Amino acid sequence: MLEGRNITFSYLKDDLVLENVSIQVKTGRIQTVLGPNGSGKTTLLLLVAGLLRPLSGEVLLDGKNLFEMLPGARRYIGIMFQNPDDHLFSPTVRDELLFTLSQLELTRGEVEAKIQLVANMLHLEHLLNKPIHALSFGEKRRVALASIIIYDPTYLLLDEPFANLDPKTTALFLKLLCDLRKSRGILLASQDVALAERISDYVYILSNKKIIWEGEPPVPRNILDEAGLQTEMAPCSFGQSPQ
Amino acid sequence: MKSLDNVLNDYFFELGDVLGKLLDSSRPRFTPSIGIVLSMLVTGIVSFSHTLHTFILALIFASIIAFATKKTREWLYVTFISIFFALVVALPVILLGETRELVVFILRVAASASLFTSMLGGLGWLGVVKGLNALGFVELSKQLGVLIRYIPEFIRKAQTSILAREARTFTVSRKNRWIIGLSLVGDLIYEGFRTSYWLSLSIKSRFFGEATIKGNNVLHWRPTPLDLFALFSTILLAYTVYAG
Repeated sequence: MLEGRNITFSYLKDDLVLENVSIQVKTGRIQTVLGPNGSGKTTLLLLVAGLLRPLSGEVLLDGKNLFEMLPGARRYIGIMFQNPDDHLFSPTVRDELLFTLSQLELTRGEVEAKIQLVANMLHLEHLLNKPIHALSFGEKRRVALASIIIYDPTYLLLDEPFANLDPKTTALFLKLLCDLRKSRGILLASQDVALAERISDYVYILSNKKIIWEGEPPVPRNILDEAGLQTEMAPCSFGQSPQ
Repeated sequence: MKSLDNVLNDYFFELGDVLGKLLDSSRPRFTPSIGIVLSMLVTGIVSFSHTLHTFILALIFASIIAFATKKTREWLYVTFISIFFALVVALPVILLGETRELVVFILRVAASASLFTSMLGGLGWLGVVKGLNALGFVELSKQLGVLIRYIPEFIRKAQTSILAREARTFTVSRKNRWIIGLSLVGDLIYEGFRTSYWLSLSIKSRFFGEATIKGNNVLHWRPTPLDLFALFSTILLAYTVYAG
């Protein structure tokens, strides 16, 4: 299990982003952190992935301090950033996939087989030799996901994986996550309540620097209101020209 | 007269175009590792020669390679720009009346730059990365790879920033043009900082040990016709230098 225990964090002095937050990522289920913009979801994912150090509290991987096991323990944690341009740093798709594989003591044949398998799963076969900058947003997202599932981490941390995706790619990601959840722990950060309730086994609501609710979906409406995740739409008549 | 924002936009557009051609994802026309070794070798040979026929031969070889790799336009650009800058640098020699020295200097610069450019055009930047990797310069190739990855992004961001400003500029004045141009600097510096922050996190998140597989084509030389031509050119040029 990957666990953040009583985490407090701030980027600037005296301006806490997270306060005493605890979260567990268990294998065999999809967990989602729901919260409005700026609530600290991304920061929480970076902390749990061991990319940022908490001011207080600890991050544990199978009960042991994660920071004492780095960088080797990163092998078990895959994090996908919200913006694929921040995630992808290699000149071509194949190079991006090779980055982690080159650290795994695999033979050339095994490396090629893994690339083909993941490319097939995410429909990337025709893009393997393309430069990253020439890809569309959806293609970059697929490459970003491929770049982490290719090394088979036990825990997947995905920051807003469905944001700005077309329905086809969303469906592909959903199917893939459902397949992956069987043997892995998945933590999503999202603000899409409907989607989170549909696919998650467990939900955390992050608001005002703290987890204000956790449990199995559906999330009580009053909690969503409190977190600012559900608002009344202002009335508007569509189909009429403004006077 | 073009406004500053248009000039900047055109500049970034042209830059993007050239980079796009160098980042051509099609298969390199040279074997990457051999292409790199020969391009350095042949550039070195031409750079240290003194004879006119070596320079002329080098320019002929360069033009053949540029034509074969369909990069004639880019090759001509670089060759003429090299001649221009060499001429500027060599101006004092004209005042001294050393005409032969002037011609030799300009031809040397033009020949070595054009030969190197033509071979680089055939390799493409991705070919250079592959070649360095295959030659065992793994770290260097990774760093170059990151650079290649982010230059087009940087250009795209700069263009978007210009367009965003232009979309909200209602009056055209010299002052506005300068405001648009100068305000871009801060944004690009910030963007550079932001990009490097996320880049470091991204690399860190997927680094868990030392690289254990080496380059893709470690000196497996399956010569292409251009490899053979470049090798022939190198030997011939080396001979002309040796023979004087």
